[in-house]
Amino acid sequence: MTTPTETPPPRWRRWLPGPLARRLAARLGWSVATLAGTAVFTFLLINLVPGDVARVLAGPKASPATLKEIRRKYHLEEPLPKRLGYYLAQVARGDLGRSLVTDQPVAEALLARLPATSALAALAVTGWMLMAVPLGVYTARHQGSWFDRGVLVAATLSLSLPSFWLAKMVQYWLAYRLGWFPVAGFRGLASLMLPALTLALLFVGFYARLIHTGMVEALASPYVRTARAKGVSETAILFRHALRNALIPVVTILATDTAALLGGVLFTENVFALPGIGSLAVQSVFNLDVPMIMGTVLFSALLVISANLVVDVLYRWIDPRIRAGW
Amino acid sequence: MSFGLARVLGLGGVVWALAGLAAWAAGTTVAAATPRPAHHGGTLRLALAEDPHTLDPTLVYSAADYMLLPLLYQPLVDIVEGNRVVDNLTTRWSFSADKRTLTFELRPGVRFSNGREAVAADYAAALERAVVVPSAWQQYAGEIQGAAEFASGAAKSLAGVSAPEPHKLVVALSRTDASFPYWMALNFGMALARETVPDWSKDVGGRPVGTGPYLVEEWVRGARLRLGRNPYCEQPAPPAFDKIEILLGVDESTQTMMFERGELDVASLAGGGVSAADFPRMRREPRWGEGWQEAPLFSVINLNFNVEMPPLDDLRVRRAIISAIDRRHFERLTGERMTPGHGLITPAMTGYDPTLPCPPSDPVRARALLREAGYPDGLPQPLKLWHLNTGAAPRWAQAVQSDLAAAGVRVELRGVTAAVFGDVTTRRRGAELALFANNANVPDPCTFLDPFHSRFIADEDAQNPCFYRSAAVDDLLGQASGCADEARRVALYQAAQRRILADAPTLILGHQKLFALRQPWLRGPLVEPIWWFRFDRVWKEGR
Repeated sequence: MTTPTETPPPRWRRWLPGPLARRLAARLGWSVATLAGTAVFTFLLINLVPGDVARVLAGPKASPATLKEIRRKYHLEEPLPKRLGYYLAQVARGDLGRSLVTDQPVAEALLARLPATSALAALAVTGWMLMAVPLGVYTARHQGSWFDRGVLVAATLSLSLPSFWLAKMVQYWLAYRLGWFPVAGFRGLASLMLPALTLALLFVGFYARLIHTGMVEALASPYVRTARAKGVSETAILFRHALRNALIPVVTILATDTAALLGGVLFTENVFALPGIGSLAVQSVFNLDVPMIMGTVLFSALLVISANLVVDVLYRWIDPRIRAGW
Repeated sequence: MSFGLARVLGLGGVVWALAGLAAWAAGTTVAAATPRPAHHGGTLRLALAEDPHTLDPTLVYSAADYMLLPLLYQPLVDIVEGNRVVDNLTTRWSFSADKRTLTFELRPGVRFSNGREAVAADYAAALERAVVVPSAWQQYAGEIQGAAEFASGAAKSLAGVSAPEPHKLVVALSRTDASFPYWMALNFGMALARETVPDWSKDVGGRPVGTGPYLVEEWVRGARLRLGRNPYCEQPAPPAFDKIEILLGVDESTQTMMFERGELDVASLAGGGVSAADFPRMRREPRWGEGWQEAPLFSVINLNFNVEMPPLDDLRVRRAIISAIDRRHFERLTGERMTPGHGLITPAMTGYDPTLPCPPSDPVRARALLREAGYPDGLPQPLKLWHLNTGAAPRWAQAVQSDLAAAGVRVELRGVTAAVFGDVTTRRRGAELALFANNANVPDPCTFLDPFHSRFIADEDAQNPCFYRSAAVDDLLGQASGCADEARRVALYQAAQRRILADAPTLILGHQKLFALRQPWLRGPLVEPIWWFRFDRVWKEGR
């Protein structure tokens, strides 16, 4: 029996990207479009806010002539579309501009603030995951117990707490009253403990419940029943089989949350006087420092978009069912 | 100011006394009227709520910038109690009888932090730069002869400034200006080493090279500012500390907590000295009794009416609002940190007039005035009150709102950032009511009164805070600003003040006082009205 011979694809088609590459290119394209949209939207929004940055630069006692000179220097009197054009062209060249207030390059200011923010984010994420995983697993294993209900109440509370209030309470009790930690500032690991604890307390409830839900679902799955029937130990069922599956949705949210944290934690950084991207953003808003506000927003957006992209790609390997969607 | 004798005596006082004696023996004027500490070592630990904008003496403007300047630069002359201008880095200074020419004879041997001797040409360059570079002070430097020509590029040099000898500086003004020596005691009298400022338009505040007792070792924006000793600073006194560490971005209440934990040497450097929430408690605590120092500020808190906008264009309505507001309300809100206001010239300023009336609130009279103005049921529309959304301003605005409600005037509050506030309040018909906290740099009545001249009215960037126009006031202010006779000048300003207050374009709510709280080991006079804090005059005892 002869089989029909397959005609090899024409040589030129070999140069075309495969389906994965095409998907990836599309995602990248959307990411760039989202970033550009964010830049345009933020720029327009900032410029809709009434206010005169020239007064921030020269002070309230500056004369009209001085203010006029400053506005001319920074193109502040030109039409909005023209200023937007200047800004987008500058960003396209990879230049985020200079702060109007400090004259520092925006990229340099962001990089200078990144260590404090990254260290805080890493410590906070580690802290809340170290608490959330055992809590989620234990409450799933003992669903309906008093402990499970207690964790549910605590999680709801932690989700409802305003971050600035919690930060102030933690600072007041653990630093001011008990003196266990420095009150504020960024002078080594000890200064990061309280802000990281604040963030961990804010996030741990949510993650504990997320893991709990995933674990309950996983523990009710046929493959867990099969494992139990085969005599697999309970620890192995919990941590090797159920937890691995329960963590799949957690990965997505964790990546996005981590990216958001790296983009700056406004209240927590401010309360603890951490020189991070969040405190830089707050100060820039007060000063109406447009290039710096744009820089912090774009940096944050870039992190979140990149995190989403990376998670999307990683998901293909984490969960084979998702490959079909690509 | 509580410059007690106990604080003046001590080693710093002895050094100062010896310096004064040496100056007298050399046949010169007495250098400075405040004590200077000797070197005691240690680190002074401070915190600020935000970064200084800059430490460039030409470009500074905020209180945080200003209070750090004397650490990095020393002015040629100094302002002491009684608002007298005295020698500082000069052996002698003089002001011509027509109040148009200033002559400064510099002390030899004053050095920048790079080791080079400061000469008159450095101070001349600083003034030239102040004329050219856009800044909050450019208009004041414009008083120097030939400033306009030099700024526009029509002249190659600034005609009014010359350095005929290495240690002699002459500044000629284009018109009589009796207040100009004050500016020479501020940033106009501070110099950067010329060779470190190749481009005048660039801010050199990051690592300035000045003549002050300290130099910038490290400035991580938003995190910390570390100052070290200027090894070349010997005059008028060497630096007292080895280092000054300033933590940046620490809010007021956190600063207070850090102070109580012993992590800072001064409780707070904000306008109030200590956070409003903690102030009453800390004032009561006996352990801080000795640590308090206070100084009156050249400050006016006022409620400005835009007299071009109805219904505030009606004098009766303005007077009704003034009658309805209880000025003691503000005193109660701020503790001892505000004294009820009489006039635009503050109690610590030259020309203060204590005879001006400060009547108590009278809501009945307020309602009667409103009836007379055609509003028997109070104002039909709410007035919009613009104020800053930081510090004590929101509380003051709420107090105004509550007082006026009792008289039938509804007020909508508009708390905004400085950028928005500056924009709205300087635009014609921009803000009906605006709550201002003005701080003068020079203790001269011109600071608060000159802006009421009608020439400062404009559609945008108006400097007249109330859009107030009066030919009589214009005439008085015009005469005062060109008057060389000090007594007559002050009398003219006082007359202008009375006239303005009678027309009621503004209500003076009060004058702020600065309260600072320091640790018991910190000695020396810390607070004063000009720079607010003088960290160059304190030292740590036994450390």
